[in-house]
Amino acid sequence: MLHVTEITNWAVDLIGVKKTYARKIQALRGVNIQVGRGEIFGLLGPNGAGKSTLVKIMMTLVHPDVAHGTVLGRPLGNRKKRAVMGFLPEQSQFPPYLTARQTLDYYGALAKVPAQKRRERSDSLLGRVGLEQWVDTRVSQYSKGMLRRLGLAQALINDPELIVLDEPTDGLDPIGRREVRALLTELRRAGKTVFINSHLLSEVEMVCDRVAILNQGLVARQGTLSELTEHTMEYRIATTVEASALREEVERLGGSLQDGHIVVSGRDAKVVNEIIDLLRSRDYSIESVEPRRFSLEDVFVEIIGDAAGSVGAPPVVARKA
Amino acid sequence: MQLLAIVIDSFRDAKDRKIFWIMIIISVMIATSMACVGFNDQGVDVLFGTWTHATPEWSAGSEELAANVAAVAIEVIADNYLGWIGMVMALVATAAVFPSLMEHGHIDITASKPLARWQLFLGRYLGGMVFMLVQAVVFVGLTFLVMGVRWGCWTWSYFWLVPLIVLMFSYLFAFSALFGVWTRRSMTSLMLTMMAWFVLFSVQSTHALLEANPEWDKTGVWRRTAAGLHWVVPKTQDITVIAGKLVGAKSIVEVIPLEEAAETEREREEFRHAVEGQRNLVAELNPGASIGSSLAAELAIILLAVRLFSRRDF
Ligand SMILES: Nc1ncnc2c1ncn2[C@@H]1O[C@H](COP(=O)(O)OP(=O)(O)O)[C@@H](O)[C@H]1O
Ligand SMILES: [Mg+2]
Repeated sequence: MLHVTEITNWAVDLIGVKKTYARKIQALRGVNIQVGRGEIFGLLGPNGAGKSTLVKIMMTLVHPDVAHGTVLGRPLGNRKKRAVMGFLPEQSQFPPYLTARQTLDYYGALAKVPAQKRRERSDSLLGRVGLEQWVDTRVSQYSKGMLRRLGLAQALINDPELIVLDEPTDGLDPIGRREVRALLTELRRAGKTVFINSHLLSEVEMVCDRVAILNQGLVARQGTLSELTEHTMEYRIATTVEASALREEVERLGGSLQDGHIVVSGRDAKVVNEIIDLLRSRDYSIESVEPRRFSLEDVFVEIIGDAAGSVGAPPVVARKA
Repeated sequence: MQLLAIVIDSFRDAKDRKIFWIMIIISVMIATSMACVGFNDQGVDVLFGTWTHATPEWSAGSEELAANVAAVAIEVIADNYLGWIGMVMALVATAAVFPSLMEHGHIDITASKPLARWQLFLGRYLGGMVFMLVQAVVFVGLTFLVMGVRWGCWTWSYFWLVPLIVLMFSYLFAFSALFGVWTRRSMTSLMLTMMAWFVLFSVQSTHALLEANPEWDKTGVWRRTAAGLHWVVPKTQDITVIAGKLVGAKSIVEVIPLEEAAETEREREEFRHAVEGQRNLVAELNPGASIGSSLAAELAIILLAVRLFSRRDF
């Protein structure tokens, strides 16, 4: 068993992760997630979907009810491997009596980084996240954005192989967000694996190689960005005169009428051709045929909208009487 | 290295609070006021010569007088600083050691580092003890110096108070850690710790009373129950007695001629009885058994706290 898990290529390979809080909130209901080495992976989902719970399980902050799988080739929860992982939690707080430099030194020591390395790395990291002017300022005087940056630096103090970031751009201004994205791509270039939780689609879209969409404690979709968006594509056919008279026939062929256009969802060009034939035979003149690829947002809305309610909160188990 | 980093951080956490300095200031104030008292050929000299009180009743001269005063000072200190004042202040100062570790956003980072939860707990626990150790060294060191320099009494055995203060604190800090881990709030855990201390006090006092007055409990059921409970709890009351034993200074009753001050024979009799009782208490107490069973209780409480802490979802 061990040698099988050792040779896995996945940086993160989670199978059947389940977690119920306080015997009634099913935060995760059997999550499977695979993250390749050296990629930026985005875990997307509405608030309450269970994203934070999943990463907390990876970092052993939360005890899962059931969980199989590996992180960096070791069984989930392995303590030694955490020395080569970095984590930025959703909220980060630091001892208020430390300066940024002391904070990095402290967390570096906890992450087993030798003192010499900690000194070398902390200054360059603080510069990297834009805190060079505040290295000797007490953390109690930091703003929310500065704390976020310090949190990021802290996650990198041990030069980790796997970096897990929970809503990394939360609390940052647009410039800060862009800097974070630049940092992430830089990490990828250095061969690191990055796991990001986010409810902000655009951000994920800009940097992630692969994504999973989590909803109500289950993975609804998982794959590369193009895999996710290619399934869901549609053609829009515009005619000079609205074809509402043909509604029934169009629907029989597999299309539909939406705000004056004929819409064919899916990638099947055959349906499109059949509808074009129909239109031509009835002397409608075709203005345009436009293939449209769904954005991640469309996929997201489609999935979340499908599920009952649109909040994404996990269902509550009926409590035993 | 990791453990050391946590211990240091935990100590810093406690040191960052004002009460750390308040405690230091109180120690300095106590030492200063002791230094205001001196002894010369005539007797007691207060505030460096501003006021001299001739003490013919101690005719043996200033040396014996100083030794007696030092003995009284040591007993007062052992009963009060070790007995409660120092403990209350240190418990207040360290009440947040665990709750602040477990704050959201802080614990998430700390617990994600490559160390086991029990190590994290242990580091914080030791940090709290280091806090008390520093305070004890400052307090005992300063008062020791005053007694030596001003009064000429270099009572080296007085330093036994340092480990005893830390030991006493550890009995109580175990409760503080348990309640801190459990409630995650420093005020609540401080209050619960004080309540636990009161329970310990009640168990020990009941035990002592029933032992001293066997006639109160004819069946012996209560006495045995109290003795059993007394055996399993951390014995905070014993520590001042042990301190008296180890330091070996004269006790107040030997120094101050209270017996002569009594007016009636009955009062004198009562006084002798009390002194006798005190002597028996000291003689009967086995420090090893008392400390050993108390540490076992402390360990049980710590293990419970570690278990709670390890199983917790953050
Ligand atoms: N410590 C906890 N105790 C009880 N319920 C929790 C706890 N943490 C999270 N939850 C619940 O679990 C669900 C998933 O939360 P979370 O993992 O934080 O989602 P996300 O990060 O996707 O917003 C939510 O309904 C949340 O209320
Ligand atoms: Mg979250």
